[in-house]
Amino acid sequence: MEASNILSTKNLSKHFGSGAALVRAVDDVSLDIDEGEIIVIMGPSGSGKTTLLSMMGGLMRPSSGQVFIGDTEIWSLSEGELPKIRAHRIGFIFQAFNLLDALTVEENVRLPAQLAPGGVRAARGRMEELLERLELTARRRAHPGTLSGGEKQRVAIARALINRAPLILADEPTGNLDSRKGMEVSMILHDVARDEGCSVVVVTHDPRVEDIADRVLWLEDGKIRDRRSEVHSWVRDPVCGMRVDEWTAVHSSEYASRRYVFCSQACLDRFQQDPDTYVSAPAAARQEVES
Amino acid sequence: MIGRWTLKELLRARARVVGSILAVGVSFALVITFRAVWEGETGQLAVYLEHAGADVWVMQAHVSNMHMASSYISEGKRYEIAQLEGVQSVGAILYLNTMLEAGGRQWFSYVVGVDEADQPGGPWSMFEGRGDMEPGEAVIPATLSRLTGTGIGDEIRIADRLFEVVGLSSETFSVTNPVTFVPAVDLADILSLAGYDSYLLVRADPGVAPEDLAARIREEVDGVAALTTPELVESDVQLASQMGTEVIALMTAMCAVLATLLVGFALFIHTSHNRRELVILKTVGFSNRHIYGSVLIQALVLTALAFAFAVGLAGTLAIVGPRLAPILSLSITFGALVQVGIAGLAVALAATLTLAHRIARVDPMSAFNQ
Repeated sequence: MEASNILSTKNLSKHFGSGAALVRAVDDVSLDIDEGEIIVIMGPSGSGKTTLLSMMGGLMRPSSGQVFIGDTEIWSLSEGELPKIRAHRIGFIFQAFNLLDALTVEENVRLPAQLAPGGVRAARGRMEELLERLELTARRRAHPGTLSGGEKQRVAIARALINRAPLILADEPTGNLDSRKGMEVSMILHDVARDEGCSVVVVTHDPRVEDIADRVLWLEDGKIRDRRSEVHSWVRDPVCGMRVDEWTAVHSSEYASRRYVFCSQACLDRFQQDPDTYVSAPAAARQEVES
Repeated sequence: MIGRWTLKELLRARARVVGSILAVGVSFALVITFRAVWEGETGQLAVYLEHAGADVWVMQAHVSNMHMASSYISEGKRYEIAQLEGVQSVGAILYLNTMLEAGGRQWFSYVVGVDEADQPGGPWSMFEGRGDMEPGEAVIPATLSRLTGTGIGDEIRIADRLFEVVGLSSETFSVTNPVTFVPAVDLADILSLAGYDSYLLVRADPGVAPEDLAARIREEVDGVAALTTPELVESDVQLASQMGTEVIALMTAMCAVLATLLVGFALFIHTSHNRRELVILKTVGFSNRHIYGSVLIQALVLTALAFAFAVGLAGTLAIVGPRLAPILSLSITFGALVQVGIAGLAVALAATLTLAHRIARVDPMSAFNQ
């Protein structure tokens, strides 16, 4: 393993079932992620992206192979040691935000600091810095139920960063956000990697996140490969006008014998409510008329 | 911080928490009340002994109780003891545990035969009527009078004899041993005894310690036992406690098991509702140990609030109960509260342990599917 590697996997595999029913969710995946690097892992639904992320994060035990975070092979640790790795070395960001509804914004952000040396008191300055940076200061006393999706995800990012974890693992971080907020969250992750020097692994269907990636990996049938060299087929989302890779787009719809692809579920939903509006005047054309 | 989350989660589930506190509190209150009834009844055993006006009680050899006991000593011992140094006076009572019939109801009672002359061991506080009795007359507890509808001028039956009620005494009633007073000559007739007493009530000269006087009586008078009033009270309470300890222990255990089930069920429901939160805590890095601690805090808070509610409820019952039901004599002791408090701690621990396996099985992987 290289000295600057934050995360390495060696021949990592996860199999479910056996015999004829054997499913190779992740099959012999080896990769190295450097300090400050942003890796985006894409692939079709059920391709094993989340399984791979879970094994990297110490949440799911692999069938074989190793995961190194720094010099520590995490799956050689006892079950009692794994929570410490999650507390000190990894920050998680989830599609569903996963905030504790009973706590305020600042209490959610501060929560993991209880597990860090020095505890919550020592993390006060760091919390203020993160609230400021993620524009949450004004909402610090709010509860998650009163926040927008973008705000919730920013709280989740702040929580992931509070203990200065060198590795951030994000599972569909823009999946529940509209295109503008999705881009905003993508840019925050980009800035975090640049400014904090931490490595970010993003598992997503959202092609917009590719824009911030140093490397885009494609996972299919449990095998991983670099996707930068592949050819894209860029088309426009008829609702928001965003550029979408037609080959990998997850959200699509057939209308009038033609296939349309979308950047997000929100755009697909809007399209399905009134497809004629978007087919007769796609977003790009509407923007031109408006301008 | 996890502690704050724990408490805030409890506050969020107010209705469920209040329901649990009420249910567990009632089971604790039952334990406290059972104990209070028992302590009240047992305490009543001491009331007669403490008010009879004796420093030293003399009884038949090898007898060390009044409760559920029989004692007969010859009348000559009364005069023998009166001659001893340090003795100021000696009174005597006859005593019988028996059923009396009043207002058509049978009632177990201590019947005390009092010497009319000086009446040591007679009624010390009258609610109504008079305490000095002629042959064929009786004084019964005022509470017994109310319960049986027997008033002044009515008759009660003891064995085969009828007595006219001439007085109602205070502080002499309990469910198990109300004290009825009759003239000693009448009780002697009932017992077909002449020239015998049951207990001698000895007053010590000023400056003479009752313990020393009791020791002297034991040493110098054959065929009798002598105990100071506190010793006889302790002996009676101990005997009564021995008779009831197993029943009380069984009731306490049953209520503790009920409370454990209730707290465990409340925590089970609470933990099930908080499964999403437990998953989040695990992904953030909190270990099972932290989460056990959180559940234990919830259990302790529930149990402590239930305990406080139980003390309030039992305290209210102790005040209101005897007014509504004179038959009740409730006494809440510090010891009973400590015992229930310790049982509450055990309940909280046991309820937490029952959830340990469930908590350990919460899979942080489900954070991806929430």
